[in-house]
Amino acid sequence: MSMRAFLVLTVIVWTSAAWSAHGYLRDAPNRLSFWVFFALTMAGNLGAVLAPDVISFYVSYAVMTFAAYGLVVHERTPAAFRAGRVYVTMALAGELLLLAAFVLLVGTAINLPMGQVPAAVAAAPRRDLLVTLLLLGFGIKAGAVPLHVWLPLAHPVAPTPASAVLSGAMIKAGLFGWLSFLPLGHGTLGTHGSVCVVAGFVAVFFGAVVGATQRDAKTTLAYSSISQMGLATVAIGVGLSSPASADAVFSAVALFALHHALAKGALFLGVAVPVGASVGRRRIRALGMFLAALAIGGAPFTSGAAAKLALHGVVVRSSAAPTLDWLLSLGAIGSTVLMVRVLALALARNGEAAQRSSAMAPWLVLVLFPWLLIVAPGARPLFSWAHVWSSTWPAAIGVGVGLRLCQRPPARVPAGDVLEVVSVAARGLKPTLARLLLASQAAVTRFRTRRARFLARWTARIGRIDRAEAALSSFGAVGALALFLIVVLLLVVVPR
Amino acid sequence: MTAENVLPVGVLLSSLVPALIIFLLPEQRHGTRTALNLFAAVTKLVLTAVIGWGVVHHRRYETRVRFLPGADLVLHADPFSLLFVTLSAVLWLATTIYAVGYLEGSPQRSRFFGFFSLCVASTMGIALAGNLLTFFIFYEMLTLSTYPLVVHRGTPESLHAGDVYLAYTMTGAALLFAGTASLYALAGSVEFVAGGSVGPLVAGHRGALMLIFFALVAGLGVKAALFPLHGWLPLAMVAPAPVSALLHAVAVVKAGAFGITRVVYDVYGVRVAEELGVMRPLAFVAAATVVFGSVMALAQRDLKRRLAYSTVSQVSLIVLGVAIVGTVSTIGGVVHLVHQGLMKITLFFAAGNLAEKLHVTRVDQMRGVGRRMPLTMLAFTIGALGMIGVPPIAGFVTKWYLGIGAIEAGASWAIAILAASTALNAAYFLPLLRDAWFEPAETQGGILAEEATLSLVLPTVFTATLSIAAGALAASGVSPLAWAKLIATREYQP
Repeated sequence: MSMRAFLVLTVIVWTSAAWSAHGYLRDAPNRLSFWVFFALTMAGNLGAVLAPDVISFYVSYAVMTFAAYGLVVHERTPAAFRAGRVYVTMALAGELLLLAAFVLLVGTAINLPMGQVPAAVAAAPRRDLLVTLLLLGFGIKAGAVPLHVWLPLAHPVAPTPASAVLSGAMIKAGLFGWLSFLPLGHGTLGTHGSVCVVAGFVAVFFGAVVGATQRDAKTTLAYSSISQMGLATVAIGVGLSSPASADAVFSAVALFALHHALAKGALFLGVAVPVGASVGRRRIRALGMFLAALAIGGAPFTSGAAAKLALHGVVVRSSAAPTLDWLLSLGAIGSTVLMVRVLALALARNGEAAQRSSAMAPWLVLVLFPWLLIVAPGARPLFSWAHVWSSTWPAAIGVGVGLRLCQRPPARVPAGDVLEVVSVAARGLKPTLARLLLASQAAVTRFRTRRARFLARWTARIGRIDRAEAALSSFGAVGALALFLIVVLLLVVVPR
Repeated sequence: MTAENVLPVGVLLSSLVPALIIFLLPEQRHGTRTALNLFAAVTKLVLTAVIGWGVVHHRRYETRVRFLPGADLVLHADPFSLLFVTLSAVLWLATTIYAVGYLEGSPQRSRFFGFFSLCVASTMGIALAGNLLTFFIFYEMLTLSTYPLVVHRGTPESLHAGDVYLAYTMTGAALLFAGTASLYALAGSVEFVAGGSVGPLVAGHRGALMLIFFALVAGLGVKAALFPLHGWLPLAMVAPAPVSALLHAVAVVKAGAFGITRVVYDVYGVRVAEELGVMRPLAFVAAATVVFGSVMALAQRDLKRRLAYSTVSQVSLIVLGVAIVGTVSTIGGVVHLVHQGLMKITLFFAAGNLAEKLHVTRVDQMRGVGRRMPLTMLAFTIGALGMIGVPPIAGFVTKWYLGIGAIEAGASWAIAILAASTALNAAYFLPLLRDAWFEPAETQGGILAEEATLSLVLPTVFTATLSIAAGALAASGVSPLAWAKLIATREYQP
């Protein structure tokens, strides 16, 4: 039931992205390659959501993962290839973790139905290891900190419609994996749960802080995705530590995924609405971006408010409810700050430089569809005063902070944050490594010369034996031998 | 003389007789030679199919000839030999078509195809051998009939490679002979039986049996390119592409892996070997080779050398599967015999096409070749992704069974080896694919204007398709996996 939400979001985001890509790439030189990888990734993504058993899921998921590489490197720039390299390395690590997990889980019964998976995980002999592998494996796709480093590089560098599906739909496949495979509601996993809650909140604030320093709208949006996925991670963590909350976790995460996919898709696609458009179009675009940003920020009467209400419903079941609730509100401030930055960056520059006209209609679907969520039954508390207040004050503070940041932008943290630190460190280590390499090469050369000398010595010795043999076989030697034999014979025979 | 007695010999003769005729044919009779080759390859396929049907229905196919007192020459067909026969027969057909196209216009084709057929005949003999002595004879025949193929070009480089090849394989032969002779001396006769036949000797000759095992495995390990006996393989890359394909996918390397599997399962028997304590060292050597081969492959700049080291690594996955005691890992190892063959032959065909048509032999020359030779590179991509283990290509099935088998047998460390192998395979194949497909290319003319000729592309695409089919249809009754399951269940039956 709640898993259907993933099908809905996948279909809507991919369809809108395809529609706008049609215009976006009308004159692009290698659009054939784009469409091939787009179609493959989409097939994989839909297949993963619809998979009836583990093996179909794994195959679809792998197709999606590998085909998305073609989307990331589509522009063929050095930055795109670097992002692609980081992406494929991380994605492959994810595949390996998942493969290990699936091998542990299903054994030879490779076509275990998806519905039986959580129970099977709960009953598996190495449950804790299995859950760890699943959390890490899907966490890479979901951009969980610190496995997120590929995301701020790969999402912005892709063509805008591809960014929309990467950040809107594909990242949700990671969430979908968590919901389908983790034993939510089947036993307590306290440690895993606490780690998830902590990692989730770290992601929420880390994404917000680093994202606020970015100078590029799409990179800021990517960091916003990391931050938002942190909220989902928190919910999953609560679900792991308290089995009773499982149902609430399922519906909250599904609702959250649906809301975030559509709103984030709308924001990414909005970055690329054309420059040459009429004033009216530009106004519609600005309004749409504003509405989507409100939703991500969690302002009252938006899909974001509905999603956060659902998350609140999860968090209150946790043992540390008041603290977590506070942190959720603080997180909402961060989300809003990022949205102010995104709007400022995207609207100030009137969107991307190189772009072609793209269709407005599919984009408006993304913008407006989430509003259906707040008229859904069960969304009544959204209209209570208490909730309006609790979603207004973080948003208001966020807007204030965001505007302040726009006046005086902080120093930029390079996209890929932790990765940058690591690669700077690696660059520092390079001379040392080079020295080591040289030393080992020298050792190999030394070994070779010694071996050659050794062989030469032995060849020479064998040569001496050869010469000895040659001498023996010459007449002189035979003659000497014959003479020797004759002398011996004479000595033996003559005395008689 | 019933059909059951004649058919195994028929399979052997279907490439031995053409070999002899080809040697007698004048060099210029290209048409006749090609027709004969194709006729022989198809005949062999038909015979194989007939035997295959019979083996499934529990018929016994056996030909026995008196040779020495107490040591007959035996050809027989059991599921395992049939797996190898089928692989060789199918890939021989593909390689023949490829070789005809590849060598068009080059000299000494009569000699080439003669030894080529002889090589396949020896492989058939190895596959169908019913005891260790017969196996040894055909194994040596294989060594000698491959040498002319390795040195075919006659350049100093290829002659050197030939020397090294002979030095390695002859040393291996000496060890294998010592092992075989000692085992005959101990046991009287060494037939290949599921579950092994040396069990009763363990009580009295424990040390001797262990020593013989290592002699046999070291002798076979030369051809299977187990570390540190792999040195000849990268050098043998100077041979023409169809020979490399044959060497790596069907004949030589596989003969070694096949032999090790035979020794473990049908000479010693897996339980006896485990009791002797020789399986663990074998597994470690195989695991070391898997990692070593991949790391070396990463360091190569020459495309065929990279593929060669990849073979070193991948063939050891077969040995690893065999050496981990358990039904599932056996399935993984045995099925990889086929899967690795399909994928690696695709890669070598594609590498041959690149060298032949675009003179691309180094990995840094592969920029943009995807656009220029789309079919070839599509096949190469399938082969490479399969080696990495991307589903649904055949390599994934292997990895899956080896992984589960390792856990089942309590050898979880092997999972780390599999993961390392996957990661390293990705590290040396994915950059090639990136360069080939995502770098700009100067295409000339239409989409297939620069593609290789039909007789080169057809086998390449054919084997690539088989690699996908073997993985995607693994659950069907006629897949290599189904056959490997049959073999494993018969071996582990009490």
